[in-house]
Amino acid sequence: MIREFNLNDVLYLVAAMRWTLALTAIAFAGGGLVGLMIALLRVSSLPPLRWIGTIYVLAVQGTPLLAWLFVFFFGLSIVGVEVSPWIAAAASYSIYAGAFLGEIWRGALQAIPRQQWEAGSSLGLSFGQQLRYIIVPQATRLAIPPTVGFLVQLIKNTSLAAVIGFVELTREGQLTTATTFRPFTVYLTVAALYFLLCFPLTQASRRLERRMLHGAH
Amino acid sequence: MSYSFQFRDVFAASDFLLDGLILTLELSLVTMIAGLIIGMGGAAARVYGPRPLARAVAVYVEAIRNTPLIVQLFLIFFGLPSAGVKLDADTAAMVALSINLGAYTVEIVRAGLEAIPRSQIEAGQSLGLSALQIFRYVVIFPALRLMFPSLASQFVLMMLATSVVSQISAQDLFQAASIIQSRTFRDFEVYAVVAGVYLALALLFRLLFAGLYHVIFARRSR
Amino acid sequence: MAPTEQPLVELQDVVKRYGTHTVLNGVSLAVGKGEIIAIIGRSGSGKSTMLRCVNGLEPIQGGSVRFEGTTVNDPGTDLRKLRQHVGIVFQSFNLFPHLTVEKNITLAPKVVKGMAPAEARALAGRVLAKVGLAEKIDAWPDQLSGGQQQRVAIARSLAMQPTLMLFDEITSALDPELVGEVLKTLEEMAAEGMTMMLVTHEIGFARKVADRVVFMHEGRIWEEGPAADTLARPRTPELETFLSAVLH
Repeated sequence: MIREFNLNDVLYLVAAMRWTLALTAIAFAGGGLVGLMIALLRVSSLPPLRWIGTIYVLAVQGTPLLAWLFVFFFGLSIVGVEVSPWIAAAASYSIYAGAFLGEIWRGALQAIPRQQWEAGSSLGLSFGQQLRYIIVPQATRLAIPPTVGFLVQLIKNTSLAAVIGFVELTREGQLTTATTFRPFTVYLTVAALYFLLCFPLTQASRRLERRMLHGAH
Repeated sequence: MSYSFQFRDVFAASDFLLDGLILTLELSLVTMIAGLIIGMGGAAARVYGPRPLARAVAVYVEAIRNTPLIVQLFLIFFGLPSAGVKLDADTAAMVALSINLGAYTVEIVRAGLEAIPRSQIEAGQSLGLSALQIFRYVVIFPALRLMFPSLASQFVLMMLATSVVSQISAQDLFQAASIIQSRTFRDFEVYAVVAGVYLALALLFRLLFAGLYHVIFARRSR
Repeated sequence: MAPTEQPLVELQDVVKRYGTHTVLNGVSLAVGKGEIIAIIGRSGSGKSTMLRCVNGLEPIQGGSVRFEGTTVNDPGTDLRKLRQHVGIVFQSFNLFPHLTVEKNITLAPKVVKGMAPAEARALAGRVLAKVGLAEKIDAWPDQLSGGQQQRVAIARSLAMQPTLMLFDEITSALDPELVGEVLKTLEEMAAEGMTMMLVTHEIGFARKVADRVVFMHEGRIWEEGPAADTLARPRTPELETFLSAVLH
């Protein structure tokens, strides 16, 4: 049944944003865990560990996120494992975000001058203590702006979960289009809602970066 | 239930894959060229242009960078017809991808231009060079060199992102996978093979860009 | 130094290579307790590398480095323990920019030695007073001048109560007018009897404060001897050329 696109539809779209946000949160948590491991592997002093990290990043950054979603959602179900969209999305996004966050955090760790490690070890600090008290606190400050920037990518990319039937903002938009037949208005509204989520973060990332360049405490 | 992997059916349909691959490559190439043109023009407008134009470019960049590609694609393919602009899937895909990549390219090119130290431009001015000469001889080459790695990785990401055009039924590599899947029901195998093809493409592109960088930059100046 | 007394630091035939490039080519040197050794030489002569071998920052390919009877280059040696007794100050200060002066100084005593926070702060106050910066205890590194940062770095090392202090060209990165305050701090430490090895370009300072001067050239100890004598009457043409170059 075709009907007008009205305020109610907008409210439905706004309500669907909570699934976009939930998906982003899951992706960020899972990706953060994977990313932390990848970053540590990549700065390890043992070459085989470094290779594992490098290959992971190369492979994940070289395949479309869409392919991961399909492999987990459709691919595994045929092997006899019934996978809910939640699980498929959580797994895919953790793998995907892990590669990007891992690279961001590795960059931050490696941006800390070697002399900082040296100064720590000259004072008798262990590797773990150097990491914890000297390197990570400094690297965190460097990593925050690009991490916030990546969060924007993540929010936008949760839209791809629509293709496996996950009803977040984009999928809600598709459903609304099907009933109202007003694709232009609906997708423009959807885009505006994404913009409302992403733009403040983009601005925050920029502000943080500027502030860091000017070196405040 | 045990499942035996079978790739034969997937490779038997390699015609589909090849056709899809060709469209994916076409889309990537067109998008890169269009994105570069939009990016260069946009960045020039943003940095050197009059205020209203610079503002307009900034709005374009922020609008695109803060909304998902797939929504942009839907807006152009499903939405525009109601405004009287009807595009076929391939054209809509090219337009959406180019507009998207263009916005990212503007930002990369702008950052490259702005990274050239003021003192370089002042040195050019004090030698009596015109603005255009300064741009041509002092600014552009080091700026290109600075922005090249970011551009290259953005292009590779865009090549992978072309896979979303399958969602408006453009017959790209990813859509070929869906078609083979619906005929053979070999879901896992199909998507694994296609993922492998994308990975090979991504590595190939990276290699090409690295080679290009070497040819253009490594031999001149350090 | 009595001949029977065991030296605090002993380098024997130390060889250090980076790939095929030999940086130290058989260096032997003994440093007694309370001695002040100035190490001079051109850049690339291996003087900084030798210093960094003493606390194990640089692994070596031949010979041995001993500190208080412990072999530094023995893989079984606990370098963390050793480094608690050997302080080092670097050319580029290497203060931790995310920590205040106090936290820079108290980090290692608290984390490595398990000192209580109040006690550590009192310690920070004492070592800062020694370098004349007691009032800067709550400052951030980037609020200090280069000379002040370097004095904080010295205080940070002193807080570990080392038996030996290494100084790696600690005035080279400073503006000329700031060099004096750092050298003055070093002189005061010398007067208190600290054992020090310092790589330096300040020949006048070496003459005044050091007991012995070691001149490094091409990865070897080319010439060494009592400071005043060696600097006044070089025995090798290389040292003579070097001195005339640095003294204009």
